[in-house]
Amino acid sequence: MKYHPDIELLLKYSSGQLAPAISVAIGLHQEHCKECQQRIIDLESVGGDTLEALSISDSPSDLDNGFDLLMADLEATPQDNFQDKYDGYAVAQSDVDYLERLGKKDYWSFDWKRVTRKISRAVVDIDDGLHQVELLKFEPNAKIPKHTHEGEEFTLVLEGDFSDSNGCYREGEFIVQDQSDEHQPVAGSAGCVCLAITNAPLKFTGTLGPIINWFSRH
Amino acid sequence: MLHNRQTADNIVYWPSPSNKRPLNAMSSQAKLNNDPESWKFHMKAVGESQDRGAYQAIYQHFAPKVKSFYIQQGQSSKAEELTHEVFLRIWQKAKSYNPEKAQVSTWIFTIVRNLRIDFLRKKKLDEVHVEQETLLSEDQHLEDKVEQARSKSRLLSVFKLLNDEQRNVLQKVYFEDKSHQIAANELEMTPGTVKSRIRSALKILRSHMGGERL
Repeated sequence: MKYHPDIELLLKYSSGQLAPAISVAIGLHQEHCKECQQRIIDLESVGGDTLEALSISDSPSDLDNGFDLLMADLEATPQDNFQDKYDGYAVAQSDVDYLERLGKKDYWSFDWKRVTRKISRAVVDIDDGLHQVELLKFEPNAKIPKHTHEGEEFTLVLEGDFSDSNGCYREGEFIVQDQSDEHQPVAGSAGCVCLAITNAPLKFTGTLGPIINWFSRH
Repeated sequence: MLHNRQTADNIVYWPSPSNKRPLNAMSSQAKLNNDPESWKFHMKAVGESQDRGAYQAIYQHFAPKVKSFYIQQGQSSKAEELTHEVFLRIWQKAKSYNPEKAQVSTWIFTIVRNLRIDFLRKKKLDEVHVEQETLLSEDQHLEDKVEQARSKSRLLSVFKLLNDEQRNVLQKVYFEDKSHQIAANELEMTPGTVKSRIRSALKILRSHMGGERL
C-alpha cells in the first residue's frame, strides 16, 4: 500500500477532531492498512496518556454521589457479550451505517445517477456541513474528464484501481489532491469505485467540461 | 492486599463490597496501584465476573480525569453527564476490552473521544450555540483547576522523538482541542511559535512513521 493519510490527518482522527466525512474514509482505509492501524493505536495511546495525566480535586463525596447514580443505572445496563467491530473507530455512531455499507461494498443501496456512459455517481449523505461526499463508479478503462478541485479532494479507492500521470491508486489507498493538481485519471481494466470527498464541487475543465458540470449538479 | 505489580498468578481480588463501606479502603488500595498494568486486571474482573469492587476502583481513579478532560475540551456543562455515559459504556463493553491491544487509559480515552464525537455531532444538528458565553467564567475557573492539578505526562513511543515543547503543543492542540491562541497563552509563546512547533513536530513524526503521501 503506497498512499496513506498524512500523520496530521491521523492525529486529528485519533483525537476526534476530524470532519466526519474524512473520518469515515480513514476508518475504511485503516481496515486495509496495517501500518495506519498501528499509527492510530500509537496516537490513541497518547490520548490515553493525556487522560491519565489529568486530575482534579473532586471531593470524595462528589465521587461517591456520581458512583451511586451509576449503580442505579447499572442494573438496567447488561454487559454486551459480543464485540462490535466499529466501537473503536473514531467515527460518530450516526455514521457507522455508512462505514458498514461501504466496507461491505454494498454500493447498490445508494441512489446512483448516470453522469456519462461510463461514469455514475451517488450522493453519500453524511451530514457533515463541510464536505460533499459521493461515490463515483467508473466502467473499465473509463477516462475521467480533466478536472481541477477548488478545494481539497480526498479519495479512497473502494474497489478496482485508477491511474493518472502521478501513479496508480489501488483498493484501500487514500489520496489527497488540491487545486494545483489538474489531472485526467483513467480507470483500471476492472473499473473502479471511489469514495470522493470534496469541500467544493469538482470542476471539469475539458471540452465537455461545462456540460458535465451542468449534469453533475442536476 | 494487592501487590504492586500483578501477574495472572498472584492476583487476589477483594470480595465485592457490600454496597456500603469498604469504599475508603478501596480507594486507598487503588491509589497504591496506579501501575497501568494493574488496571488491566481490574478491567478483566469487570468483564469476566461483573466485579463491582474493581469497577468502583476504576471509577475512582478515572472518573475525575474523564470529567476534567471534558471540561478542558469546553464541555463543562455536560461533563458530569458525559462522564456518567462513559462509565456506563465501560461497564457495558467491558468484555470487549483487550489488554493485549491497549492500556486501560487508552481504551477509556477512545470511549471518551467517541462519546464526545457523538455529542458534538448531535449538538451541531440541533444547532445549539447558546450556553457557552454565560458559562465562560465558570469554565475558566475549572480549567485553571485542571491545569494546576496536571501532572507531567509519561509519553509514548512515537512522541518520544519530540522535545517537550513540541509534545506539549501537539497534546494541547489535538488531544485537548485548544485553539492556537489558547495553547499559546498557556505555553507562554506566540501563536506563530505554536504553529511552527506543530509544523516541526509533524515533520518529525512524518519522517519517522514513513508512508508516502499525496
